[in-house]
Amino acid sequence: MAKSNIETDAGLNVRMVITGLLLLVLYMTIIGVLLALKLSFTFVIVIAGAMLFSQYFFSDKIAMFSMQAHEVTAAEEPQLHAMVDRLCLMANMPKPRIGVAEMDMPNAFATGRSPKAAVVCATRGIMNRLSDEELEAVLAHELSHVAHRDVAVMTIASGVGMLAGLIGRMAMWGAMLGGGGDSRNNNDNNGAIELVVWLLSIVISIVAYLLTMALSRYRELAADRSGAILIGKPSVLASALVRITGDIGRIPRTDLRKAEGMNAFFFAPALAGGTAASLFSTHPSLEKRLDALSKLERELNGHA
Amino acid sequence: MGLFDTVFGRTKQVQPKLDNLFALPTAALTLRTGLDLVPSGHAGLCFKAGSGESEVNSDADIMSLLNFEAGADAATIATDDLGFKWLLLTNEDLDELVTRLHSANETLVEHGLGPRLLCAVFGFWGCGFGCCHFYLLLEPNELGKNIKL
Repeated sequence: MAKSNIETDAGLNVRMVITGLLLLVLYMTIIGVLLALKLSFTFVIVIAGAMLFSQYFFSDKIAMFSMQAHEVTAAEEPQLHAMVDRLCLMANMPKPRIGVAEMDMPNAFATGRSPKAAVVCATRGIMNRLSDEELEAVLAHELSHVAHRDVAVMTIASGVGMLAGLIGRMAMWGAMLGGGGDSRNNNDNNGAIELVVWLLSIVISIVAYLLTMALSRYRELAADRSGAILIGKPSVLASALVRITGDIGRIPRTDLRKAEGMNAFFFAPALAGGTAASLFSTHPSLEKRLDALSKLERELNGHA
Repeated sequence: MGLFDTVFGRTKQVQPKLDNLFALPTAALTLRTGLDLVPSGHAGLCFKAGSGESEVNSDADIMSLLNFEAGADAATIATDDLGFKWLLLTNEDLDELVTRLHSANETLVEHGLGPRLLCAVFGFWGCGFGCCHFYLLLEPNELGKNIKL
């Protein structure tokens, strides 16, 4: 077994590239529309850029704050640190900061703009519920998110939706207020154009949203795969997933609603019940993730 | 991590740098003259066994795989509280210890465990302060170039 190609899942790669290309097309479309209509939405782009940049730059602080997580030292959580230490050594990556959120909901997330500025965070609930081996698998999954630079990727991906949304809102106000102040030559015509822009931007943001969610699901599968390969035992990650999703369903909903905005960062989504349309979900269904992991297990065992 | 690895969301498995071990016999001489540290004759190799490498699932499999001659070397396998396996070797001669550990390394790499080799540890005795251990990281990063106390 000299050089294995276990790292890549060709099908997943293809789907990810297609999603990425479609998002790129959307970016082109939106910029094309702006140029064709000669609308001066420069400052929209500046605002969107600033929002995205801050989201990207402060992602660790935002996520830690909204989860009420605090950073822990090696003295406070020796076991968590020891696990991450060894995983990082094996993966040959810098060790991220480690946080703990004092909440009972079993989950974990990784955030931070680059592997050097990353934070991996686990809730007290996940640490209590999982066995050491399973917790390690979850941490490996989160470290894979860090290594894949998922915060950067998802920021870029979600940019098009945000841009379209902002432009749509501007156009809507423009249409309602009758064309804006700077171009008075033809008010009716201008209003019509802005209506079109508004409708178009709604369509674009919906498509962009669906694409971003799809990309997020693919990134989850990719992190599952890399994490499982890192620990060498896909089945352990699978059992962690089963245990956590089972537990999340059993926890009162009030706690979950508070955390739903954080879903994109989580190890398992904080949605109770499996009825949420899979198209709108940041995470693949448990079934899909388990299938992918058992397929990987078979590949590792040489029965591909 | 290249751009394409980021785009595809994949990580390359990291192969270990086994040659780091061979810096030890020379360093041991320096340690002996400079700090009065002598090899204790114990060494350990830390790695994480996974599923997949079907021949190396149990401790007995690992032992038979490594094919150690009974007798001169005492070799045992232990599992620590983080689930990592330790191959523990004893041999009075440091050069031989290094060679044995290296061959164990190579066997594990051949069986696909390369990315999950963590470190090698060698024990030393000092006159003043009992035992100390030198950790040799087997990863190809900056740390791996140094011998860490």
